[in-house]
Amino acid sequence: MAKQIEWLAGEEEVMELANKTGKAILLDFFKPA
Amino acid sequence: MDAVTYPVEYVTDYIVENFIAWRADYDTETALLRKFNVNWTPTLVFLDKKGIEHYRLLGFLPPEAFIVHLILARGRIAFETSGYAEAAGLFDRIVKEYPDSEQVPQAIYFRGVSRMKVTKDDSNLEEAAEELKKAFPDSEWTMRTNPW
Repeated sequence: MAKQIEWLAGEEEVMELANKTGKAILLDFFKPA
Repeated sequence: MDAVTYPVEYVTDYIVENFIAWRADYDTETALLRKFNVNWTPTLVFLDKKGIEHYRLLGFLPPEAFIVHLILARGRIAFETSGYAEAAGLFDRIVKEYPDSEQVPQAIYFRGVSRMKVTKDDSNLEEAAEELKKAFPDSEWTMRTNPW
């Protein structure tokens, strides 16, 4: 099954997950279609 | 980015495997726009696990160019957080797997510096400078090696 990007919206959740996984963060400022 | 670049499988896979993906609506997230000094879209900001910025992209990129920047961003994050061996490996991947990319001169430069940081051997800088002079004589990254 193809992977999908799971975009998070909350800074707190992002930072918690980044700390837990050690992964870098890609923050995308986007204009909704 | 949504229509063309993100849906491509190798881009999706690389993001899922290597990044926490965070989206901020340009029209409503004014506090984040101010925090990261963003005034155009798309703007992509690459942060380390502590939330410190190390790399950013502005404007649309097609998948074949974007994938190189994803690797470069990880390399710059590793480099600036003293993960020199990891950084050298990431920059080396760009040089070897994406030889036609515009980012190759930058990757050669930072691969040389990363290798020097790992080995404490200045010959890594000389090798990078020679490679850049030979393959990319007009690149700004080659000029940056003049003191080496």
